[in-house]
Amino acid sequence: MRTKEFSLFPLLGEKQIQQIGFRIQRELSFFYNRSGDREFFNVDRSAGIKALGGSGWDPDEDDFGITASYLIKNPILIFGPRGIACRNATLGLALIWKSQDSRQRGVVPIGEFTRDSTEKVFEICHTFPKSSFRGRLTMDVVMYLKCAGSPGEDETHLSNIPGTIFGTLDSSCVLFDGTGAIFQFNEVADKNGLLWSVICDFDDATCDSFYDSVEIDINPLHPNYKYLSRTSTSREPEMLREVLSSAMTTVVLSIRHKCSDLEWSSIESGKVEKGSVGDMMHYLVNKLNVDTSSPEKCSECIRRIMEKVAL
Amino acid sequence: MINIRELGKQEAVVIWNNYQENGWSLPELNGSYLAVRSDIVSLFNSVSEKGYKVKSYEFDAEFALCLFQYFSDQGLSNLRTASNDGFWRYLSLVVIPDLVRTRWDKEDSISAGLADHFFRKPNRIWLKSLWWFVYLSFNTDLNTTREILLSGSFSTDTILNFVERSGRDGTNVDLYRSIIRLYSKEAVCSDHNFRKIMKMNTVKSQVIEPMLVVGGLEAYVQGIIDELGIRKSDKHE
Repeated sequence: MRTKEFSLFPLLGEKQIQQIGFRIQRELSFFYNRSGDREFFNVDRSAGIKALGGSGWDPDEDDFGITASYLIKNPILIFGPRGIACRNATLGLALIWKSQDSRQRGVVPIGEFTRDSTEKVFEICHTFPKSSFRGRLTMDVVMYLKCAGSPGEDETHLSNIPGTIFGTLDSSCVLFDGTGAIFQFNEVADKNGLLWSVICDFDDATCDSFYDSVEIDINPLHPNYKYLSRTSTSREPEMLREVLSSAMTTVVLSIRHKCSDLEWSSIESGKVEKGSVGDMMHYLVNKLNVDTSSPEKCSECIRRIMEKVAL
Repeated sequence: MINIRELGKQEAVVIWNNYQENGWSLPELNGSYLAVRSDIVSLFNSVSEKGYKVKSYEFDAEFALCLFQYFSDQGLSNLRTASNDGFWRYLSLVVIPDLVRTRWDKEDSISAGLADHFFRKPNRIWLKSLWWFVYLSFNTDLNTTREILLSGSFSTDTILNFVERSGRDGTNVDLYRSIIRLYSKEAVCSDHNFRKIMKMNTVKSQVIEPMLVVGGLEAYVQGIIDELGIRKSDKHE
């Protein structure tokens, strides 16, 4: 059964964001402090998940900072019955940060505004202590109700509960550990084991990291390992392609089988954490058109994709 | 300071299968982890000697407090290490597997789900859940935290609800600390009421960000206690 979310009160949509003249003046940038100097990371801004690292930064020894600047030109347009908050309410911007890999989340308030505010710039500069995070950190700049108003007769449909989140204005995701590789591909020695095996273990497909949940392991003690090893003169790239195709088919079918209807519905609609098991499935199914309706079709789709991969 | 050692998932599976097939013989340890084993076994025994039954909540809570202090003294109480499942898998399967087994195995059979407490389910690795239970409950200092956790207000169900179901976007640590403190102080304490508070928080925080509520987290948690009608002053105790 497909479920659909709906809100009982107006939320911040694209139309309102344009009406209020919201602008990102300075994109979310990331830095660390060392010996009194601020060093900025050079990240790939086009990447969905931006890998940190390099430039001598050590997440165990160095802090991690974020900075950005936002502009709202016409705040008045978001108040009142056609907006999202009562005329005399106070709205705010805040940065909500979340790291499932580090098992924590938090909030950094940025600023507030009312109907009477003129064009306003919101600046954020925040530093997290060293050794705070591992894995992924997601940051969302949101608009929320800071102080309730007194709803007029034409405003009773608006949310008036402080703390209500109306929508996201900006978003970013950084990777503290790893190279951003999609899944783990390991060598695990097992003298009685098979040539390759798959581990696909997750509790919640919508948020558990794909990288942490999925492993494809090759056994260097198996007699046929020589056909897969990069350093072997007997290496057969097409055998590696077949192994990876079979392994990925197993992963996809395993995930499909283990997902609850609710999880699958979230995956199909893309309402999943970036980098999660569900995110990968959404990409495979929606962007690469992998057909999960049967093992045969799934295998065929995966093998067609893998035929284009250079090994 | 201990050098962190990690165990990958598949390595953990190999070690686990070896235990099942060949018996629970302790692997050889060397270097700093030999001392770690000795220290943790001493802590385990000292908690036993206080009279707590090993499979009880009180044992878990007291051992958790001791472990938390120990890891802090060893320079291991940072969030990067604490959220590293490979570190906890290594401790559970290589350093002190006998202690984990003593806590979770049944006397006459291998309990279903035993592997979860060693390595298979990240939120159920016993040592990890103990550390996080103290971290998420921490108030002011360890002694104050001990008073709260051993006040008679909690059970093993608390650890399950609190730690094992931490939510898909990470845990709001300050919120959880407020919940633990205010629940033990202001609410009629029972597993049922604690579950109600956690469920209400899950529902409310879909729409409201607790840290952005007027009055902050204290007001947010007090509001939940009032909304559920479980305040101590409202009930005849």
